[in-house]
Amino acid sequence: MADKSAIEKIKEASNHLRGTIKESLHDELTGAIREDDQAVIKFHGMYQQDDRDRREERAEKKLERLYSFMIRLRLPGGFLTPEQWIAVYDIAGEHSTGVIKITSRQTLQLHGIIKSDIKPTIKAFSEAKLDSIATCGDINRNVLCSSHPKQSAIHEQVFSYATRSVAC
Amino acid sequence: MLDGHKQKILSELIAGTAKDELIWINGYISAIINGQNEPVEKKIIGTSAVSKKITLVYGTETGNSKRVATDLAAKAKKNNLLVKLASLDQYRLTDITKEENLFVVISTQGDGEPPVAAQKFYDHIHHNGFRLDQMKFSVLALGDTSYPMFCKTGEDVDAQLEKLGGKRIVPIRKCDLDYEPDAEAWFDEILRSLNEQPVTKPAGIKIQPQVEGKANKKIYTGSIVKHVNLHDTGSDKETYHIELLVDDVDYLPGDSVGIVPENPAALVNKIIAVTGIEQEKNIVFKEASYSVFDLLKKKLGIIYLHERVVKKYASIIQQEIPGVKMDLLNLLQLYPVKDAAQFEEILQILPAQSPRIYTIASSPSAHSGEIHLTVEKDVFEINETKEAGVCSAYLSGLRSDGAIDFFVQKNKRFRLPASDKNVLMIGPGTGIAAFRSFISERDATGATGKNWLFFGEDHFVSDFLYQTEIQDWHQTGVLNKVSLAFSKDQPEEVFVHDKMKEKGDEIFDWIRSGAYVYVCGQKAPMSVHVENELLSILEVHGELTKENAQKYFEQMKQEGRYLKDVY
Repeated sequence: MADKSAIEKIKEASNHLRGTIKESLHDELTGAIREDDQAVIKFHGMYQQDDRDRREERAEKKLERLYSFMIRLRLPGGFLTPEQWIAVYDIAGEHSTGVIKITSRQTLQLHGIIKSDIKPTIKAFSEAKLDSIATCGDINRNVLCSSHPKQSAIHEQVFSYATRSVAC
Repeated sequence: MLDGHKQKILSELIAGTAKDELIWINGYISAIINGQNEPVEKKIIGTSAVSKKITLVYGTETGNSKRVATDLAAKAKKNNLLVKLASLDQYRLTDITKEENLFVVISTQGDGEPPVAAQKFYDHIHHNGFRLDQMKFSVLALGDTSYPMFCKTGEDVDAQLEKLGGKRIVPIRKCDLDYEPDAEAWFDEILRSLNEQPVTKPAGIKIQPQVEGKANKKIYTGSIVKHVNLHDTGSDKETYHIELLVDDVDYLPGDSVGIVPENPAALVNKIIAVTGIEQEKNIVFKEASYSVFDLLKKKLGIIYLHERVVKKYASIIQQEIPGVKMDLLNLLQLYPVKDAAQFEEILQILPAQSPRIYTIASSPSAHSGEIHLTVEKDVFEINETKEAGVCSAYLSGLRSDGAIDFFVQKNKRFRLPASDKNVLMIGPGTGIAAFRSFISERDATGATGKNWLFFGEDHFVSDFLYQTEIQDWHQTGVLNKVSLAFSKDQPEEVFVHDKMKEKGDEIFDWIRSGAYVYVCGQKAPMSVHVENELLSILEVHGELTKENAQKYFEQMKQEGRYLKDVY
């Protein structure tokens, strides 16, 4: 069998996807997490990002890159209650950029969460009976496909709903 | 090492010698090795059988006068004197007429005023008619030659005590920042004088006070090669990292620079316009000649003038003006001068611009030929309008191609210890300046002692001063530990002293094993909280009573293991 990929090695060494996330979160010196943990947190529904447009200016100010995290919810069937929606609204305002993104895979995601806000964010989701387990990385996803009407009869039928909704 | 004969003589000598004699021989020989002819026995001054009583009072603002007075009191006690030591704000003023030996250690505020704690005493001796005919006195004046009113309060007190009939047994001694040797010498003179019985010096002799060199501060010019606000956009604060290129500048980590700020050109132009004075006209001020414009821009204080100056202004233009601090421009607008000639009179009563002191943020070993500063733009509100401090506004307004003049202010009380000692540094906000210097120096010189930094600011994302440098030091190992407090990142505020509490047991371990503790930055409330927390750490983790914790702390101070540079 061929050598395992880097990511498979990290997963295997991660003690069931714990990695060193705890240590990374406790490191007060940086807004980033350790490199291996950046792979592991995907299984907990997060990506680490940084604002590329700000890199140069922040370096001049002797500040590190502007790191933040995206968190994506797992919503079975794309469903959430009105109470849960309100909870997401409040959490977005308190811990993220304040924007709730509705994705094409029928879920919600928040951006711009700084490291120290990760724990309060996840805790608040949990209190609203929401979670983000396994929403990023190499896990199962909702399948999407093209809606081009010429591809098949069923494509054409589905597409016609779209034009109908535009008409009304 | 010795030949047989010498060895024999020495062995015989030692065999027949008592222990205390050996100790004497030991001292005798080491004195010869150190180049003295014979060992000097410790001379004790003032061994008279009858103990004399002296009163040592101090008026302090920064704590220096207190420190000096306390040291001197201890010395006096060793010399068999009965000492009453008191801070002037606690001294019973009615006692003064009963004093036989009064010695005053007093500092002067930047504008020539007494320290707040000494104001009542100062007023008492100036305004109440009493005589001090039986009093012997002397004054030790602490000051800073970079201020125009150097040691003014000390001079006033000295003159006034004489006027009231006191006998000056030792002339006033005026000290610059490096006051310790002067203070020692002053007190030795007093001890000698008290020892002469009876005191023979006739009263009223005019003693020439020592002449103080004001020109001993070398002025350097630094060209600005970097000038950047360290805070990210969105922060409420502005703190500038300024890098200056300077030739042959001599300083050590812990030192500061003094900078005389320039006033904004726009403000100077307005003043010139309001008064109608010719801006190129030459004016003589303190024995040098300047154009009106240069004088107002570079030499004079024109913002937030002291009540004393406002009073003088009022008497020149002969109008009633309320005794409050005011800007020159406001004065000129509300109470105009008669003509340009009268404004020239006003120019002569304005205070010389005082230098502002900034702790150096660079290290001579790591940043050769450069001086770096960390300057926070000081913004405050007066009558609901935002104003900025004169010097921080001047420095933050500079650009990367300008230049500034400065002098180096030595700070012998804030030096790194031997390279193998461990160092605990507490420096939130601009307090980081001194420790950027310390850590860079220890990094560049390969010091083996461990280093632990406590830093704090408002927000992690926008206010973490020198973040990437601190990360690098941590990664390369010169900085062993970093503890951070970002006060406004969570609902309840967290400060460096809270972080110290969290790490109390470890801090105590460091202290117990000989670490040096440094505090730099805001005097109040920061340094007060830090000091209280240190005491509580000694109490809790050292398992000491409150009193013993205090003693332990005093011991640390005496050993030079607790040092502050606060403002």
